[in-house]
Amino acid sequence: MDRDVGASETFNRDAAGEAAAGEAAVRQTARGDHHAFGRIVEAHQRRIFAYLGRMGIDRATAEDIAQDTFLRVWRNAGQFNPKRGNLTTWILTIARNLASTRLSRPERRDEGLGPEAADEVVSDLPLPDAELLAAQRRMRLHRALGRLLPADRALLAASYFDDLDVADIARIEGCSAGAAKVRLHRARVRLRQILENDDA
Amino acid sequence: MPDELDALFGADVLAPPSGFAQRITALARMTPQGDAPSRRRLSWQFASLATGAGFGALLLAQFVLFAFVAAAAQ
Repeated sequence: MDRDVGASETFNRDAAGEAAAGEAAVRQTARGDHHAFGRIVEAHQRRIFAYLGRMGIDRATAEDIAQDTFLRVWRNAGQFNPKRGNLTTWILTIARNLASTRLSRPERRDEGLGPEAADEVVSDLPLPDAELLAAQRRMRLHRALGRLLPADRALLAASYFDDLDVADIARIEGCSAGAAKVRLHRARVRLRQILENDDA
Repeated sequence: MPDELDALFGADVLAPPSGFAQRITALARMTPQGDAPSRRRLSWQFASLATGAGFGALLLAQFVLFAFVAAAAQ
């Protein structure tokens, strides 16, 4: 128990230190420091790609959105306000809004499977069983995600980050924590139904 | 029992391509930051707001003066 408390305190200290470092990097970025901006990109790129991937967005589109997201961070670093949430939440909010706009375009509404994921499945080369299974799972999930609303896809994707609590997710989504919980529950039910219907 | 959705979402499906951070940092070097024009626009907005408020206050003062003089004349 004591060890748990100690571990939790260490985690909180680490998180606080990370947040402070992030804020300092944004302040430097706002003054035009490219090195500080590079540190922000290095620290957040994996998270942004994972987030966009979990929304069922293909690699090429995710790269476009991630690029736009970071360039917005660069241009608007002076507008970052730590009182309204930490750096991670701010960057994910930008990515979420850009991704939702992209997914709401009529020509992208049916988007499901990314082209490279389809290539993996229909490739002539034999895939090891585990890889094939993973590719099929991805394809199934992407197809189901393609039938959800962009906002629900964003909400589900955000919910799979261990370091984001409901308050952070609500901030990204621009709603209250209670509303985020309800919407998340509904989105999970809807996605599960789509997956079950696909199986049937 | 592990949730099926957790298993499906569990794996990160996308990772950044190699050199992504360097490419974005290079792009940033060619991209102007939004702060300077926004500040200029803000100061311009403040100036017109202050001018408008000044004229408004002048008109109000005129009206009060006129009402006072009219009341005194009666």
